[in-house]
Amino acid sequence: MNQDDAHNPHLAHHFDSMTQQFESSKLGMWLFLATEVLMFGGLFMAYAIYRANNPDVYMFAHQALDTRLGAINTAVLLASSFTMAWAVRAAQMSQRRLIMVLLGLTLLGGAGFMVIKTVEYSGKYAHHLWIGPVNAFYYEAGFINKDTTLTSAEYYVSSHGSPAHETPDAAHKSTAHETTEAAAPSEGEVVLDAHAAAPAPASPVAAGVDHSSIQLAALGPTGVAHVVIAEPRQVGVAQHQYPKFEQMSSNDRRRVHLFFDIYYLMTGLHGLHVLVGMAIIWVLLHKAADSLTRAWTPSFALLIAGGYFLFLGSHLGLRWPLVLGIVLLLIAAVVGFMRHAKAAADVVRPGAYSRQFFDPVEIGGLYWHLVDLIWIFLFPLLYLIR
Amino acid sequence: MSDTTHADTHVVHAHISPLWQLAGILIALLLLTVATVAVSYANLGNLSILVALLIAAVKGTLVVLYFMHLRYDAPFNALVFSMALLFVALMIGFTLIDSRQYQPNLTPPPAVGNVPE
Repeated sequence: MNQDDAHNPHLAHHFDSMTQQFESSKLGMWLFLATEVLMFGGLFMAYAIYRANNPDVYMFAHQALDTRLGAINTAVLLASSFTMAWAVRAAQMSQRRLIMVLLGLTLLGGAGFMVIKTVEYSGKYAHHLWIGPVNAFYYEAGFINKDTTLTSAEYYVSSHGSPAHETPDAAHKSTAHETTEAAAPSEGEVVLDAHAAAPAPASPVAAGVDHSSIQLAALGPTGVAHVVIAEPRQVGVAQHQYPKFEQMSSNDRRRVHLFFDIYYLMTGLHGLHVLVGMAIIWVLLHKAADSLTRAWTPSFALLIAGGYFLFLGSHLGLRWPLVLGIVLLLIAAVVGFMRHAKAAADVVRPGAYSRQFFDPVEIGGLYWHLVDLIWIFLFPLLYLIR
Repeated sequence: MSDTTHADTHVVHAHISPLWQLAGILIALLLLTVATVAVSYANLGNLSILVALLIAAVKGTLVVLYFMHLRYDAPFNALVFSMALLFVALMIGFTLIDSRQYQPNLTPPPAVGNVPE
């Protein structure tokens, strides 16, 4: 019985049958996925403990996350999970061209996810909502950060991380028309008027501004006009009782930056998994391609990387990513044509995966689905806190 | 497995998901995503995290059972995976039971700077 198995070159000698080999590799992958679940489980535990102890911090800080972008990213990842599952089916049915198309689409889905993640991260970075001491809410030696950064960060938080408005001033003007049915201006707005004429001091403590006359508690820790926080929320969409920064207890205020540390740790590790998954899918695509198409798969990877850097450069207004992107695209073209010329001179060989052998596609798919699975839990836990 | 013939050893015997099933799962997942966002805008108070987690669990189950083929897989794989989930649940659950007990100890010293009490 075992002698006949030699007919399938993909069967390792220590397995009885292709099915046994397939089942074994799947068991190995599920064991690995179990360790992945345990690793992320530790982060979910950290999330749960901090949330149990500081519910107001989560309610306040999660507003910095853009629900719309998070939902779009969920859809992108779900769609790429679908194309991955379909690619497994295509491999099982020896639809060789379809495997390549679907793996390519899955790869593009991963790239799209990373692009949206970049928009989210860079928006927060620009508003001083980064990791550790760079976070505007970072608390050290009795002080939360400087006023300019804190005002910008608080504005970003209270505008739900929306990239639509860039400056508090612009937002103030534009939302003034929309908030006709909003509640009466809070005391914060009065404060704004009181301070509007004078330029905001770099540090209220250092500048020696007299706070006693204008109620320090109502002003919050910075002493400068809290333009955005004072702004009435739009009626209709999200009328939750989110705490405002100056309404939180001082302990909570000192722990706001913890939410961002947890956010970046969890989404960052998840993003790392997306990158690893993209690498795995690229390898699958490379192997699934026939020899002519395989000449272009490195160019495809360079195309995605180059496109990403072009996006990065235009999004951040930086020159070096643009240059790098163009260089990568040029390399992609050169490498592609060189490999194509070489492959065209040779006999065309088919891709590696068919109904005879599709184990790697299934195993790689399992990894990609796990990445999707983790995001399914991250999205509501981080973006939809009520 | 026991009645495999010669020819059977050459190919993998695995479940091939019909395309309509995969597409149906995708549509269900997208609808559940819309649902979890929509529900979050209803004022459910403390229930909202339970609802959100319930929807996420349903979505995750769909992904695991159909996209990852666990429904058609060897039951041992399901055992491995559910054990991991069980131990994560135990870890988080038992830690949460008394995590609030330490809240008084977590209180930092009185603010001296620009954080008014």
